[in-house]
Amino acid sequence: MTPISLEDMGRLMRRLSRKWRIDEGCLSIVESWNRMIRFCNDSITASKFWRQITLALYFVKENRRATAILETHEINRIEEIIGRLTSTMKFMEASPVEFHLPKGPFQYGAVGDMFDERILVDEDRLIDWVEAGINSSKEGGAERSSGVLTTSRFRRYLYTTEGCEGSEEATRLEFSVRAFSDKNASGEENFSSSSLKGFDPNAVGMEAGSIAHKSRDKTKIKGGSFNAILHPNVVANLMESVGESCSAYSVDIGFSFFSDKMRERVSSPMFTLRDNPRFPGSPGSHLFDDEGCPTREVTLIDEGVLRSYLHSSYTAAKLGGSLTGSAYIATPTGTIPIAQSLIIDPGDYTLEEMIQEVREGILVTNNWYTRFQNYLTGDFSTIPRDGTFKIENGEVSGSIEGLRISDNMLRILSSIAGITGQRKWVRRWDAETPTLSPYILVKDLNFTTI
Amino acid sequence: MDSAEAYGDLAELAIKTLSKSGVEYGEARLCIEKAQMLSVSTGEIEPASIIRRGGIGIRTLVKCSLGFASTNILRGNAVKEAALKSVKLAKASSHTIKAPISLSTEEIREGKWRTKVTEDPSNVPVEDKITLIRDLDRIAFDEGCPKRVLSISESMESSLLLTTEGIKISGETVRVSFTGLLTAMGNSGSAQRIIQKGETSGWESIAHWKLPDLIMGEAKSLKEVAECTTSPPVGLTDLILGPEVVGIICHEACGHPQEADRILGREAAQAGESYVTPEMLGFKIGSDVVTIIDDPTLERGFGSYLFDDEGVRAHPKTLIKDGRINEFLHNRETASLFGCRSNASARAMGYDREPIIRMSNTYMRPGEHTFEELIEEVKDGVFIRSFMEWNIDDRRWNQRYVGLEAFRIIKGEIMERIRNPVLEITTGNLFGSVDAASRELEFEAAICGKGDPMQGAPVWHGGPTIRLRRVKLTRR
Repeated sequence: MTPISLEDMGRLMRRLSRKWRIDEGCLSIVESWNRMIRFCNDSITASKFWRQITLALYFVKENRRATAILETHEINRIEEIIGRLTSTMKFMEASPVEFHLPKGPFQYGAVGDMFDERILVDEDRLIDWVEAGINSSKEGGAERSSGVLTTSRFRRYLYTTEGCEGSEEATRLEFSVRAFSDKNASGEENFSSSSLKGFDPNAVGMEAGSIAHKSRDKTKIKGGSFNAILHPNVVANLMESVGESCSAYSVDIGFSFFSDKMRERVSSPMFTLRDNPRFPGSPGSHLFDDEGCPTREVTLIDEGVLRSYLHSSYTAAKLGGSLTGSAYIATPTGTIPIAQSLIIDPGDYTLEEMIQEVREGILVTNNWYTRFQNYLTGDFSTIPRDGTFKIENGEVSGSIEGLRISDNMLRILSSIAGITGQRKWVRRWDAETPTLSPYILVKDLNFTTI
Repeated sequence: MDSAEAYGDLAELAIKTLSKSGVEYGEARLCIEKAQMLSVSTGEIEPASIIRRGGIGIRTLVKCSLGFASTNILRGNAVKEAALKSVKLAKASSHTIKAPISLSTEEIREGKWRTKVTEDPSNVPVEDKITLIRDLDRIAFDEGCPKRVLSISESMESSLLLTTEGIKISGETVRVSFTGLLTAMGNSGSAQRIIQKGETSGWESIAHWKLPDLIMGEAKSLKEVAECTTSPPVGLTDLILGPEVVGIICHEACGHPQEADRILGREAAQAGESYVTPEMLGFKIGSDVVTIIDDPTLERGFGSYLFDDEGVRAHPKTLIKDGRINEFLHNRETASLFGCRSNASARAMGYDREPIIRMSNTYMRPGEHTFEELIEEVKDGVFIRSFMEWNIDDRRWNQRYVGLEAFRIIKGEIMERIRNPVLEITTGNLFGSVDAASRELEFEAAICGKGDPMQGAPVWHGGPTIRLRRVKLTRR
């Protein structure tokens, strides 16, 4: 499989098409190098590297679809697997949906800061960054900290039977520090970007330590409705579900709270959400999707009105819609539309103004474990973790614990009453879709307690 | 043949390279995984799918520091490069280590195992598989589910583990699984259900699950949930929980907090820590009725294995015994720190992931009662058979389960359905409130997420039906 060239891929695709009489298909190869350092209680616990070459193939034959995701460089094995798939397809009914992969060629252009060689440093430099984060968390007030530093390099190649050819190279850096001030007082800060621009491991550690320190001496409050300010970490976690609900695939299978809501008001008018893999510095940058369609900015929710779902060629034909450059090969869905780089338009507030306006409420700095009772209605709950604070008399005051957000996603979106101009990229363990997130003020957010 | 053993010379090359590098410990784990999926979405067949992954993961211990490197380029030079990389990584961070890493001493053995399979899934005609999921789709539609996704998948994973100590274990694991996503519409709006079945077994599991009957029952029940408008009672009440709910409780509130790596803070940055501390062995956390076991040796268990991914022979572990915390889940690293032997809880989900502590098949020990006896003694209460929404805090103390199929119990009889009863409770209160368990034992399959990068491990969790006295119930 190495070295990879588009000529090699073209040859492979033509060979498979001829041999197995494939009508249309796309072949994507991703070569990746990943480095990770994990640490806990201020000490490195594992230093990891993984290198992979993954071949993903999606093809259509007589309006029947098939997908293969393969890690092998042996042509005979690839051919044998494609042969098995074409045998299986004989027993499948043809899809009633008439669809075609996008016709190329396209010009894919470039995205700023998508590749930054400065991220690809040696082991010693990575360890320096980790130690800077650990030491700074102590300066911020932590007793100990844990976290992860990951650097990645990706090369992605695409060849389709419809004349699309492309390649891209990207880097990514993610650093998260979770600091502890005592057993139950913790704070998290993270950094995620495709470039080194703006990366300061000391600032990450310092902020995590500071939140941990402030979150000591927790008290309990009774549940109920509170005006709440959600930190960008929380916003990114919730937007992951919003992004999934914008996928036409989720709509098609009945697992979207945006089903049957196109062109309807689904949020406060101050909320605009886009998916834009061409936003410079996004950790989710791409030039093209796996069907060869160029990526573009897609406005999903425009000042509160649902404007677009994310589509693959199949969902666009089935549900009606235009291609959005969002289709990625997956099993068992063929290509599936997935948000890559969510952007929330900035608002006018500063965090300080927001806190003053709330007067009495709650500030949630992090959350996890978001689970739905019903994806179609949007009923869900999620658990605040790390620093959660009361807001009293327009100021952040004491630390609180034992809360759970139990509400409805559509109601939350409709209750957005403020968005900050300040935003940060968040991509973390429990929020995998990169999201440029502001602080968001939600009116009457429902919290439960034990 | 496309199996790990066919690439055995590469694993040996890795071990030779590590030995020459003078590592304290080294392991090479080859893994080849093949999976095939067929799926139908609301009447339409989804793309036929095949996944084939394969590569080698190499882990080393140098100067009390762990390094891990993997590659899926199964050629001599790439494997040698990965081996040397793992040594380099371990060495690079060794001077910074504040908590030295070591491994427990375990028996050096050679072993070979494979899943007992009566009917090889790859020999089942494709047309039979497609007919099956099409029939299931039709049944779900007929019973009132306008939206549904039904999938069956089969997988075969072959692995070979070699260590510098001389451990040599090879295994072949065959799994089949079924997933159903159903949506029903009714007077109260919609209701949704996720059904998961999975076993380490051949195609015979498909017959064992009686999928047509299962889907008919589930779809019919879901339609009734969607029609239900009755609110649940709130306040202190007696509560009966079915095996599906008991299983997730055992997994979330017992299995995870008793993972020794979590207790030591190893997962703090992501999945969190634990309410359990090393000193809590023997601590009374539940009533005498509560005994919870993690058993990787269960026949057909979705999380079953005979040797873990550090080459330690698997055996059952009693995590809570008669209400007392009895044993933690260990790998060789945590066992060394606790001064005990590993209890074979190390699992790696693929060649590109290092072994970490995982559950296997976790369940509550059944009791002496019949289901009817449990109900009979409830004057006014609630029975929750299944759930959708659940979550737990990252110390595994504050948890929530929202009932899907739920019923009122009045004077020892199951009465009308109720909508979305919510149990929000602490682990101590939950386990302390159990006063009886039924005789039956049922399991559900799941994929458990942990680690960074994420590792999704197939597991079973289950138990009997249990009764809780006077716990607080709320509603959505």
